[in-house]
Amino acid sequence: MFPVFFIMLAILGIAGIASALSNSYKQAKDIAIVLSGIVLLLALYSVFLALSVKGFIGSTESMAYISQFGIYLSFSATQFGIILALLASIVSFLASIAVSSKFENSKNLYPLIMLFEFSAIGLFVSANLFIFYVFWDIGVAASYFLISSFGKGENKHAANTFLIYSIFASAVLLFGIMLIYFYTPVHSFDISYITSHSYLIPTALQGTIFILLFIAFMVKMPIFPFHSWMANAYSEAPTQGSMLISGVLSKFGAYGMLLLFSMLTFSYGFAKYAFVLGSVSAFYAAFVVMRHKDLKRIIAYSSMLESGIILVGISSLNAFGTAGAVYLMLAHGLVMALMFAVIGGIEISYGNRNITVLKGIVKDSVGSAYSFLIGTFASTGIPLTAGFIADVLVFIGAINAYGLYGAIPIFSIMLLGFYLYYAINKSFLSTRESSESIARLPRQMAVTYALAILAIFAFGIFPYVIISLFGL
Amino acid sequence: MLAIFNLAVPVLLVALIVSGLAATMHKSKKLSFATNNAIFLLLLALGIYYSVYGSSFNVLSLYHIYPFSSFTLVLFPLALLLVNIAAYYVEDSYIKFGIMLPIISVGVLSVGLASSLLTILVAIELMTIPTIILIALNGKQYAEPAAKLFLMAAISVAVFAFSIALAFPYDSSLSLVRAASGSTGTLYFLILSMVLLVASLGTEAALFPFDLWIPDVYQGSPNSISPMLAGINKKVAFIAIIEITFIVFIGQKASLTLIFGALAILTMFFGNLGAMVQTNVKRMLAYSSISQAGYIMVGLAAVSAFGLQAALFQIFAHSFMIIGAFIIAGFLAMEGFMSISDYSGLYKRSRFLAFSLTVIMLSMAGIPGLIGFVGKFLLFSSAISSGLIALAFIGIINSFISIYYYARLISNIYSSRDHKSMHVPREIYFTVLLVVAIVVFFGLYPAPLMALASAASSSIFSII
Repeated sequence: MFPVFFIMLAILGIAGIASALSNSYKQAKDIAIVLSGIVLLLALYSVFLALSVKGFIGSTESMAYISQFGIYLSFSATQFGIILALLASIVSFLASIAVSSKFENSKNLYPLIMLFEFSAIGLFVSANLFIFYVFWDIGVAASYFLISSFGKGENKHAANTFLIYSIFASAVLLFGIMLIYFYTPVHSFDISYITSHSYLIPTALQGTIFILLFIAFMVKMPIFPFHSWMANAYSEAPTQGSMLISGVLSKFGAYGMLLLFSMLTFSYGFAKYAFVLGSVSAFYAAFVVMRHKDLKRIIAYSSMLESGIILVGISSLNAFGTAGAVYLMLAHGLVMALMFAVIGGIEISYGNRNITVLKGIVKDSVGSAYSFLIGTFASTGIPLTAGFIADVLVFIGAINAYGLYGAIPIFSIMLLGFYLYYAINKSFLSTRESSESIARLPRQMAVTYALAILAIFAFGIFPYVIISLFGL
Repeated sequence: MLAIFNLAVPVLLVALIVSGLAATMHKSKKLSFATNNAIFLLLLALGIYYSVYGSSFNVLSLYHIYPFSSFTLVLFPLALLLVNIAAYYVEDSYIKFGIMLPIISVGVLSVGLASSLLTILVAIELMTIPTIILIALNGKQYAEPAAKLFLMAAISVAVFAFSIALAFPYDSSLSLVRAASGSTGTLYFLILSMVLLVASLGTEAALFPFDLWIPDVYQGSPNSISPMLAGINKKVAFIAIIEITFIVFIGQKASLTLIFGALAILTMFFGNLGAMVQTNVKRMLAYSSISQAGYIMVGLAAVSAFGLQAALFQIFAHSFMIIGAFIIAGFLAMEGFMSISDYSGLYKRSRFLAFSLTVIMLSMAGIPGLIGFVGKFLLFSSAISSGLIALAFIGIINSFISIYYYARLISNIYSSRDHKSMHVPREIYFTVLLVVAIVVFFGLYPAPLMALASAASSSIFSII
């Protein structure tokens, strides 16, 4: 079997360098689209391998790196990793197709998108915590520059807030990882080794490590007390940046949380508190979203709500809950990519994204309106969309673990649904009075919508592809 | 044949002095530049040769060549080479640099090679005094930094001599190796001697209470000299601290951890908090180099072979990063860009300088994939492995505080503004490119440098 992850990362590295060296905006964009398309095909191929070839799941590709610490550049194929790598490659492919208003069309955007995809795929398939941390930080740096160099409005402020939270998260993450390394019996960064030997770490120290990593992942997801970077960052980033940060970067935290709960034995006792935190976060987001009129902020808070639900799924610590959480990460990543692309499209057409000002979108720009509607369906879990399967799995898991309490977070999704349908009613379906001229939607955006919708329905109608990976 | 080959280092050092003295006669810029570079390259080759073969022997009972000194023979000639080449462009009359630099470099190289306390004392003076003269020769406006440096150097050498005098009665020897045997047990004079030593060398190495002169001097010095002050003179002081404390005072392990740990914490906070509020780039770099001194102290506080390896790695890493950063900042200062806001739109002026500065800043901030991250990772790991968990945590927090001001500069560089492009002279281009190559290469593949540092650190611990 050829080393598929190494090849993906190598292609992305080449893509980043090639698009940085290219001469024009168009050339950089073409390079990004073609090479991230190839990576998307490879990601699909790895899913195919996982389904058809026995022994692919659990196989490792590794290369000696720093022998003094036993650090290998090693990537392993896990169910979660493959699915999230697929998500990262889809969203990055969409982001390299999408365009935003003229001012932002700098060619430097594409090296950053490629760098981000590089970090995301590397992180999701990494088999040791050192490499995990390296990719984590590269992803954070790429997102920071996406916001600060290509955003609009208050982007510098948003980028700085993002950076302060992120470096805090990185600091505690690095410290936690170092503690794990020095207190495992044979000093090791290897995730599977740590998983099987973590019970040997003294309990008090496990508690410290758990809290450190939990905080780091909470910041990135984001979960309630550590969320205040999110709304600014999502709304001030360029369209492509919002797609990547909400669709993929927030999954860094979610995936880390998943690893944490599977790695440390200490975490089992903490799961119920995590459940409560996730639910509180979801309800908090559901109520805060009602105060907002800016479409990007509305979607940002809906993304925070889904992160809460993901944590609920992870904290149920059973096969359904975990599978549901991963499925929700996939579905939610795709939905966010679609939603932020649509908002970008609306911004190009109308130059505005305030729901009190926008009116009658369905008349002037049908594609954006219906795409947004489909995105709303998917994020509120309407059947046939990927969100439905995910929510069902998560809540089966939660109810199994916590009884009827496990069903409480469903109401937060309903609250979100109310507000999103209200917003749609107000700005998309209402009739338009003024007849100001409206810019045509670029063709690239229409393609972006179509591909995202295709993916959302594909994973909603054929969930078996993914679910069979979990053996449910 | 072999015996003659062993004399290669002293012969080359004499050649350096001859080159410096000859430059006073022939006054040819090119000749002096070429001879200096050639000798530095020869020394570098020798250093690499000694490191690869792990040579260990005494030379003229003055110098001791062993893996630790071979490490300094790799680090310093390369750094001196960079400084020399950059100065060739930056200095308006290179010839005074061509006279002084060979003499400074004899001092720089002798510290790592020295086998006795007195040699170290003399070598440090040989390094500092010509540096002061070199600063002062540049004109009246440089009298202030020169005077500050002079005052600090004078006090520092006095304290250093006093420290040697205090330790002398216990071993009756100035030899590093023999001094070690007398210095075990709780002897208060010895601890006093150790504290004075750290204070005197800490002045040059930018440790907290003794570092208040650093920002003024680094900022005020001529653009050709600040890279040398931050990248070489400071590192020489660290090498001296390591040699003396880890050979002579290794018996006082607990006190060493306490002193170095406290200095590390104070220095890191002082440097990072100071750098956050600066508006001048050179001054910000000066504060950032103070904070980097704090990180190096974290490794020394571990008092283990691993900690020393980490510290040596970081000394190497930071030496080149700061030389690169100061060369860029100095070149831009000559073109009239001083403050952080002047740097906005640098990307439009020169893509090369903008990209290089970004890489160096990210490396100093500790972003993975670059040499600075590996250094910090080793340092904090070594602290944890010696059980200094709180120190490691404070170090990590500090390392992430520093990202704030590096990122501020970077995002300023890329803020879009239209400017006409700027010509980068080939001397600057070459030196900066070499620094970026070192930063990226050893960031992605740190194993060779780690092996070098590891050999050096274990040779220090096995010397007694």
